[in-house]
Amino acid sequence: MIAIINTFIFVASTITIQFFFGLALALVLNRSFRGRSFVVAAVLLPMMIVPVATGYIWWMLYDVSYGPFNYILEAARLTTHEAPIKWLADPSLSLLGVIITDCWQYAPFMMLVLLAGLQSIPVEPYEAAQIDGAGRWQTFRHVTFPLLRSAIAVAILIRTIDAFKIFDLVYLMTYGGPGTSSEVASFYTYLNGFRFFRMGYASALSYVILLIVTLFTTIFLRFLRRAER
Amino acid sequence: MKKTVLRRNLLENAAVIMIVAVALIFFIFPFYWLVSTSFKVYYEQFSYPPTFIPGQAVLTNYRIGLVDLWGIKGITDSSIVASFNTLLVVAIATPAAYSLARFKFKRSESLATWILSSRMLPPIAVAIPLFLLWRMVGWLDTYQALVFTYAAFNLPFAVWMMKGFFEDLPKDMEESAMVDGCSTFTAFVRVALPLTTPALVATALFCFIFSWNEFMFAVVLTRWTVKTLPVVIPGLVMGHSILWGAICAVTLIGVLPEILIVLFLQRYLVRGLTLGAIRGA
Repeated sequence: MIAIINTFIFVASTITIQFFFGLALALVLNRSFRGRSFVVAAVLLPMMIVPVATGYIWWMLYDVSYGPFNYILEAARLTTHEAPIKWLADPSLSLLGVIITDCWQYAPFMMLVLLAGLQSIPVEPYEAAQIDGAGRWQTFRHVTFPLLRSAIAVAILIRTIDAFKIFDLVYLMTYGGPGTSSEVASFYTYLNGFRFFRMGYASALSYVILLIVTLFTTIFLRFLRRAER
Repeated sequence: MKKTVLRRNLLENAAVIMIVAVALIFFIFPFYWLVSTSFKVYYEQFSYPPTFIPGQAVLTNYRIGLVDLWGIKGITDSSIVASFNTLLVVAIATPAAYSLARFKFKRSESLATWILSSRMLPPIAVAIPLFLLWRMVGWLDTYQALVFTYAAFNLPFAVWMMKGFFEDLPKDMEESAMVDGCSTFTAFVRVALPLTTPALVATALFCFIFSWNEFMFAVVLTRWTVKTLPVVIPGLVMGHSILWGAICAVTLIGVLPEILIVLFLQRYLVRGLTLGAIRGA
């Protein structure tokens, strides 16, 4: 049960953060400025790293005794060496730690799809909006947003399906712990099937996950189709 | 009037710079840490305060990770699995996508949706059935088990992406080729295929990256004979000592092919993703 709740927390927060961060970045990178291609390349870097390695890199960064994060926090006098933030070893923070890592790896994907969507919008609607005297916000609200809708839908849909499947990062960074504080559905299934050898139970669990994802995507797609009309 | 516009522009520029700066620090810092750790001597990886620039740059980590602890095996195996998988997927997906795009037969639409729906499947849901299946066939811990398993996940994606490209292609050229005496098949090979090469490259790339990075099936379905890169890396975490340097070194070597591919084929990649993804919905 905790695994299901954790999965929902994970999906909801990663998608929200990644979407807004990705959208902000895509809007910024859609303008032309010096060094733009460098920024694009730098942002895309995390997407290419083997997810397994991502887990370890962040584990190293979070480390309580020699990780740079706590060092920086101490140098900024936000924490002390005696009472460091325990990140992955703290039940209330471990899931957050995984969420931040997931955002590092996949916000670039969100950005890429949204940027591609932005670049496929023709100039004419903007010119028309300008002639009509629309302000910045109005232009965004009534021109950019509706035209970007299919890209937004694709980005959110693909990321949500993938976020429900989250396994690697949890397996590597926290192993579901401490306790069950960062256990998610896929990981719980793995534990049951391959560690406790309850294959039947695990198979049943897999079907429940499949059902939830299918239900979600169907509702989402239907909602999308209605919005298009 | 002019003043407010000016002030608004200033504010906007400040916001843009802020977002870019935050993004750069957030995205680059972990990567920088990966690079710098891969050159640190063993004790320096655990020093406190952590060093931001390695005191002395050494290549020991690369030797340990690649030669002593399976790194080269991982890269070889990942290359084998990823290449064969990509070839297989492209060979099946391209004709499938072409026929779905060009011929309307009974239920062709629902067939296409059905193909896509298998992408929604969480891999863990089929991990157990697949494990049992491959065990029955006697394919556990073999290359072909991974190649075929990844194919099952790459195919829907590849079919939909290629289908989008073929639908975008005007029919006229193939029709005139057929008037000139080409069969459907030669029209496909001689006319449609050359025109969609960029799309094919992009599709192949995504398949390659997916099978290069996949972890869960590799853990579940293989042990010793086959060891892909994502499986090798966790092996560098041993009981009480974690070989950070070696992990970073192997990771970096593992990312290099992808970075090179993406650099050379950047154009295809972004274009392929846009079209394929947006049509995929």
